[in-house]
Amino acid sequence: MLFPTSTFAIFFLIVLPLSWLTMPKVHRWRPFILVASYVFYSWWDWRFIFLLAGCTLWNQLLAVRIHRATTQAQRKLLLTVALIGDLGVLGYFKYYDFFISSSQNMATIVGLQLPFSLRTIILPVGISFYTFMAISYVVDTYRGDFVPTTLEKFAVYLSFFPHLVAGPIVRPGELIPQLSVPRNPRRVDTSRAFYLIATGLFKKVVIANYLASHIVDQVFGAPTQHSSLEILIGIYAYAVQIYADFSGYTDIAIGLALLLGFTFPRNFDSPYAALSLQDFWRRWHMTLSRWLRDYVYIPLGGNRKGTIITYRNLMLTMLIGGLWHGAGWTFVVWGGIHGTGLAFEHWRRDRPGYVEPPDTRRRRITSRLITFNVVCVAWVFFRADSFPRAWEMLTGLFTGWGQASPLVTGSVLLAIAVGIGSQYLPARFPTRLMERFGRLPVVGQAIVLAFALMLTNTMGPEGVAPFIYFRF
Amino acid sequence: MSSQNPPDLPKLPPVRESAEQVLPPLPDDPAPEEPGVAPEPEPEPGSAAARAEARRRTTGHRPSERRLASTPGIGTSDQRSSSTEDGRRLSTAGHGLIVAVLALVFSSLLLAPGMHKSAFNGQPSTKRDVSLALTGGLTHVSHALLLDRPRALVQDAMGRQHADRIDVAIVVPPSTVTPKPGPTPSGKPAKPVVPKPAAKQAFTPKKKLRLWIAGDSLVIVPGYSIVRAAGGSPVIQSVGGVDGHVATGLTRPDVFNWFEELSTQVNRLHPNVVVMNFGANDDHDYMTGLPPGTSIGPFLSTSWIKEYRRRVGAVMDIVNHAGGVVVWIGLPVTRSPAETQEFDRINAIVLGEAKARPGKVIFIDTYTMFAGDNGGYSEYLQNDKGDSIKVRAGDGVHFEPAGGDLIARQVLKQLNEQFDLTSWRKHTSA
Repeated sequence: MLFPTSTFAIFFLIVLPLSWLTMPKVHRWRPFILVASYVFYSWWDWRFIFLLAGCTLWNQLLAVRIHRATTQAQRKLLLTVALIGDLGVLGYFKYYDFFISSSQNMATIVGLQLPFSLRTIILPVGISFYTFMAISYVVDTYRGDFVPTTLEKFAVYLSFFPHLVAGPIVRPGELIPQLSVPRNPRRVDTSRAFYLIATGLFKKVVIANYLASHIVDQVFGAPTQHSSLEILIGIYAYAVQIYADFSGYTDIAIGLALLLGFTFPRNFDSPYAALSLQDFWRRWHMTLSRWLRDYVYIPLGGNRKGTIITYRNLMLTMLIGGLWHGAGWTFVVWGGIHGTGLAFEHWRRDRPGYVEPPDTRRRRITSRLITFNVVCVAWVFFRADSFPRAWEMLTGLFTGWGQASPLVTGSVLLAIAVGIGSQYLPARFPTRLMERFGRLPVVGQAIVLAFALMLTNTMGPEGVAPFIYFRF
Repeated sequence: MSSQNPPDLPKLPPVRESAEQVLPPLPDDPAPEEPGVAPEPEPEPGSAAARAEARRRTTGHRPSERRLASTPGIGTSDQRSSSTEDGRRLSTAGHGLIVAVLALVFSSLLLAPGMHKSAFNGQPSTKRDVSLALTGGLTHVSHALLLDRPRALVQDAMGRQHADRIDVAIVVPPSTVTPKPGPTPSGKPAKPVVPKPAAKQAFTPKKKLRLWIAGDSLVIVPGYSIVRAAGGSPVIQSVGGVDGHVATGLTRPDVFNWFEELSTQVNRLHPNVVVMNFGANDDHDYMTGLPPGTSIGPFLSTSWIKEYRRRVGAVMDIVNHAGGVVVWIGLPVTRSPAETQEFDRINAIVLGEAKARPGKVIFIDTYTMFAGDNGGYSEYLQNDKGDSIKVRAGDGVHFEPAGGDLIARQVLKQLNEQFDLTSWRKHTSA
């Protein structure tokens, strides 16, 4: 069930009033929302719900055991068992074929035949997201930062439908406490909710889909057939497409949760206005980057074990982050570019005698341009279906200037400008918009929203393309 | 910059269920911990960062705390205050529900013509009948209240004036297929006319073979592979890119009218070769655009096959009449045995029409090309080096780029057999 469909609209219009009707007695609300979330998930494939249920039971069992364990050795052992189970399932569904085919291809080079066969495995939607949330739960319990809750609450935490298939990756301490007391029906931030839903839909349906179908797919599909200008604009267009697609989804998710009375953490904060790669990772997919920080980078030693180990940890964290996005070596390279960039920024800053240059307008512009273009180079590997294709993209940037560029149209440039320009809007702009919207009478708000939906539907393509991050 | 870092996670009291309303604020960002949260260098006096730092000291909040404070259960409780952190008033859940319902009602009126078309495009079912009845009524109301005007204005501005038109008309050119020789007056069958083998049409770098690719979603990935492969030939020019339309076919011109699209693009692009693929979305009982007075039976009934054969022949003829050759990519073996059987029957219809147009239609058999060792569906195939390559997408139907490359190789091989693409080299070297 995709968000921008009439099926989901009907589903949500049934769930929303029932959710508030059951909310005063939260012990009745939880089973209701659990069933609703499982219905939502089973819309893709009913078999997936067994995996979600299994993940819930497994992690709850281990978290409770970890909490009750009396010795550190026991707790560590139980945590290891929990992680093996979680990562084993994720590895099987997401990476089995990747590792087997990669191993077999390497073995073939040295004349060996491995006794493993490839399998056709369907990747369950959202498995990467809810596995990471489950890992947060057991690790936080192990660290003593969180006391395990009831199975029912944990099941709702893991399956709550607004975040289920593509995040944001919400921490136990952020959501589970909200599941325990009734949400106040007189304190709902509807202005923000509708703003996020309307802008999220526009970003996904109009901006992302338009750029995908009018330049990105053609350029990345056959780079050698396009001019350097088309390739350059195609890369920028993809940067905007993936931002609009993913941030659009999470905006809708956060807005839907708000209407139900729940608050999710922010997931994007104008990432293309970042001044450095480190800044970029504070703004892009924020819930994933903090997850990687807290559950990968810091356990590896963070930056407390010397310069070289810090660089290694940065690189490993970003390589894992790359692999999380997809079972392919191009994703690993994407992570590698970010890891290298972050390590470089550390090295530059940590040099003896380094003095931070003055914070001038020119310096900020230069920093933003450099950061954005490094991010775009990394996106080439993220989007390309193979290394040869990525190489063709990068070399094509230099070899085809002066050729005709029919794909670079005014509409494409406008969509890119809107996608990037929106990230430079002053923070007060959306606040004022929400404030004015909030002052309108009920009918006025409905009319504004209706026109926003009409514009989005009319300007968007026919049909609904799946969200990019669903396959992660 | 400090090189001393605090421990990984400063110890907090564990979060308990009873602590839902006011959770302990998150600790200060553990200093340089990457990615995402690392210490900021000391700001330059007078800079924007310094001003922000001064504000932080005044308010006692770090920016990250302020940001997090608007997130659930972090710092402040959204359950207590009557307004948001930025001073906006909060509303009631009922208010949200009413706005949502009214917005959907109003937008339904604004979008009525488009919704009616979407309902029409559905497969025959009770749901479709209900949707058609509802959206039909909405369309009348919308038109009477002039609420369909804003959408029409936006469509005009975007050059999509006819986007909501329900188009089922099929313009089919007269068939080029000569009927099978019937019995002569003497009762003996006529001798088939064997045309003299025509010389291959030659193309050169100055007079390139123009190639266009069109079809449903199955043509998109192989299409880009063909465009890439064609890019390596100095005598083949891809024109019009890859015209792939998801969830379309020949049975539902109301969803997308391929007959019109092919006629338009063939006249515009003048391709010598059109690579096409249809049929994956045609395995249904229902067709629109039937000739007046015609009805058809269920999928693969005699009447269905007759009408589908007419349509397959028609799209081939549209290209052939304009002087082009069709390369038809057949439907592949799929993960679903039932679907594979249906695709097999559609392939047989296409193959029959292709054979009826010798020299003008080339059929690429992807069924055997993608069959695994056991003759059935396989997601992976081995290449010449013995490496396993993923050729089919996870949905069990579409192709991966490596699979598209296999098809592209076959298409180019067929083009080399059909046309003279190399003799120009001899003239050049001479």
